[in-house]
Amino acid sequence: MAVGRLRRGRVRVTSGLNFVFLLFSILTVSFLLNAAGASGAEGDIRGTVRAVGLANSDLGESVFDGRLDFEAEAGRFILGATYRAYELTSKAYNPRQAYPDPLGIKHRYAEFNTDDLGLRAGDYFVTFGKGLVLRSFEEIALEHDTALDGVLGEYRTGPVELTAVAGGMDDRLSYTLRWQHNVYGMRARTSFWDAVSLGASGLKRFQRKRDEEISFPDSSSNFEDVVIGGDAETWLGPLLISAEYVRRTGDYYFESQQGGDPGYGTYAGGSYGASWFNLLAEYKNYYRFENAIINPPTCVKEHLWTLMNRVTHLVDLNDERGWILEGVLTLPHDVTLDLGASEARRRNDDLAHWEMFCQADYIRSDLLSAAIAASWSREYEFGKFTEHLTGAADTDISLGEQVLEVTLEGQHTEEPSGLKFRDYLTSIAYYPRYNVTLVGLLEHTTRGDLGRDTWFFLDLRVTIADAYEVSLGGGTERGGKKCAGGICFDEPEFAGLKMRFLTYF
Amino acid sequence: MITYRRLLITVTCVLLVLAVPATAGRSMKAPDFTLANLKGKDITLSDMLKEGPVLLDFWATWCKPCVKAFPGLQELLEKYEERGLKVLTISVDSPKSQARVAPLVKSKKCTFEVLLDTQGRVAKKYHVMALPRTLLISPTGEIVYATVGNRPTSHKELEKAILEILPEEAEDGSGAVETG
Repeated sequence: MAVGRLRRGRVRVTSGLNFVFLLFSILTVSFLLNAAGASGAEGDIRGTVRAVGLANSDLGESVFDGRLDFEAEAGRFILGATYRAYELTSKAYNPRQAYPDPLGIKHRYAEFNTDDLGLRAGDYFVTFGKGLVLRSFEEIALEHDTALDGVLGEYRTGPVELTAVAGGMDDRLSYTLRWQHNVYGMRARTSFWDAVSLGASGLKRFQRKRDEEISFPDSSSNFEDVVIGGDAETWLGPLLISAEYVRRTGDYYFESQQGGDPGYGTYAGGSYGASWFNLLAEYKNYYRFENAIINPPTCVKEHLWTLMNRVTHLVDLNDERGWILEGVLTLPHDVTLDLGASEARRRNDDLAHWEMFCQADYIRSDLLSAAIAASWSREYEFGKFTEHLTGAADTDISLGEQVLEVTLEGQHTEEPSGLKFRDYLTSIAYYPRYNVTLVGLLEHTTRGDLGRDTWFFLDLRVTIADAYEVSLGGGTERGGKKCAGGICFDEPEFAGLKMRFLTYF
Repeated sequence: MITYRRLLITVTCVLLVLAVPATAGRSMKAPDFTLANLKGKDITLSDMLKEGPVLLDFWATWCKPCVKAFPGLQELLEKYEERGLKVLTISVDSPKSQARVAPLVKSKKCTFEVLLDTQGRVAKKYHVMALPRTLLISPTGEIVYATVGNRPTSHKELEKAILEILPEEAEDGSGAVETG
């Protein structure tokens, strides 16, 4: 689990105006290719352009964050690249916590594909099993990027799939400090009877700690280990069962320790679906298992509500076992009821976390939809706990072609120090026409030790010609922890103007 | 001064892209892919397109607007399935939340096909930057309509686009469709 850290590959520093130049080049090539396509030539170029401009009035600083993803395909060959222009007016204001300020080619790759074979050189993303052995991926919204730079080969023969990887990744923790990761590994997977899938994975990993200002001795900066695992999945009508076990031996880079106890990761999960009742159960057990390029299941409820999401339990992959149980009941009159509970403990049986959750949904697609939810959770540390009690509700009301969405959330928190406070969030979205949205977000806290106790942000979003998404907003935003897929990012508070742009070509 | 230079770059980029409408407005080729469905069976886009237009929807269990869009997608499927429309939804849930996909879809009583893109490769091919991302693909493999996000009127816009590419319904009320 990474909080507020950036993991990224190599970047090249160049002038910010290159972004404008590159953008123009790609769009021109795309336009020409399109014209060529109309005359019967083979090939395609596709991609996206995303740009965000922030002007922070509190700090008097600004940020430009531009990103261009493009891919050119010709027959069995694909060439692709991601260009990032992240420019700061000052290192003191780095809201994406990106090190160094990335400007240049972020990813680039070449692919060759046939029906049975896939080869890729350059940056790539890959997952072995449930992500206990290896998972390199990107969550753009959370500034999380573990792309491996190297080669990836995939071969399929009958029911057997083989994958081989060799590559490296830099995990940057600050402007000067980084971990260099290198991996070499293989995975084999087969499925039979249309009901069973079996897989086996093995990976050799090397980790080196580097700092531009400090030299570390080999004993505390060079590590290597091996992870080997097996996984299985079966579908028996409405029942789905899956399990994975992985064992890690060798040095343990996360605790800067050479040798030591082996680590392990165990996951088991199952779901059962019927017309009126659905059940999900998951179990995990992790010990000395943390690594920058894995992403195993957390068995923790991932909330869709903002305030609940901000207090998501952070799993300790070095010492945690636990479970989650969720049931969804489909009731008459378009109502569904979601009930859930989760718990996590340390190896010595101490409680680390528990949570209870319930939500009722009422959905009538055209006229009205509403949801009401509540959660109660405790996070334990050194025998003391922080308690959160959260309530939330939202509704969509259609008024002809116009629609109003209202969300209300409230959270009561009690900290071990005895500090008690409440947070409130109100969001109103108004859709006057199909391509225009006006969103107002109001937050308030009774905490008292923050610079502000109320934040308000107004955002106007417009879709132009079904091709361009443009938004312009201004005000203050509270920020806070944002989690998705088990990864969390601490978004800083903001005051000022924001402009966003997105298009696909 | 530096602040204004950065803002100038932002504005320049936006104006530049807006100045090339021919590029964004062109019809794009939908990249082909094969993904497993909830029962582990491989589904290939090009095979589905042989039967009619495909409505492709990228979503995730942790995406609230995506789940809100389900009744609209289901309604479109029920209304136009007989005329050849296929609805393929692609869950981009990682292995971490993949176990939630089947129970969620069942609880919403959705019957459309659900594929699992646990590696995120198809989402990358389609450059999915935000969810939900919905695309309508003609039987010839061209993306004829694409949208990001679930506005309350999204499925009405989709319906308009679907009607433009679906074959005409036979006038004898037999449910048979005219091709071509």
